[in-house]
Amino acid sequence: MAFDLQSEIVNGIARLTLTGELDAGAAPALITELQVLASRQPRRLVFLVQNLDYISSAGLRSILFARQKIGSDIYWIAPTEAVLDTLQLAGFDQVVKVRSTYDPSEIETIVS
Amino acid sequence: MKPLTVPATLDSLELLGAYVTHAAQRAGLDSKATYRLRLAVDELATNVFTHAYSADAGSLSVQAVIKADKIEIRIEDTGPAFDPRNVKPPDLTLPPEKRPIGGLGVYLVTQSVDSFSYKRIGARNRSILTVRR
Repeated sequence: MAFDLQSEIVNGIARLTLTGELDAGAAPALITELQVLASRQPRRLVFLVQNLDYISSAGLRSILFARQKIGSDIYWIAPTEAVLDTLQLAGFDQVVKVRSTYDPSEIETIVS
Repeated sequence: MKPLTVPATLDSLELLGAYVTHAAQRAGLDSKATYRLRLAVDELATNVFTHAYSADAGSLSVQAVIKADKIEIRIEDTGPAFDPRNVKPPDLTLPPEKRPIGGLGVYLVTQSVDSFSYKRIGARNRSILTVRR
């Protein structure tokens, strides 16, 4: 299934909705989008991934890119069991904050 | 199963994924093992497509072989000799800022299947990924 992404920044929180399969062919589009988002210096980056069916190391590297360019507050919301398995295999569940649901009281509260 | 040969471009990953997923399902693997086998093939193929060939000169072949107790995926390409087993595994204890970019794909291969072999045969690289049924 083809990869698709949508993004928005609201009140300093960048939300990226990822859909489909994030392999090495799709990852450059995500990197490009992350570069655009990084230039706007969001305070938090939230990946909404409940409809992301697949991720390979190329996709994981784009998370690392985001972490290094945008900062430490990266959320990964509602990954499928399979995608979470890959994150855990690679130790990336230590890189992002994995949550089962989008909780505004946590994510939209900025501690300054 | 019949082998599948694809051009050595990233656009081929989707077709390879479909082939491996179909083979794994035929072998009766559960969804987790199926996903992991597909991931392993994807990572090896990505390595070939991004490192082994300049321009779009090459191709890659996969063949699934279903046996009584296991499924094998044989992957062959004609790029320069490259033994993925020599790739140093990433240090997952490093903080994210200090992690090197390389090495993660091959690491996922080794973690995703029960065994992984490599041989250089003439001008071809042959990797065999095996998962128990």
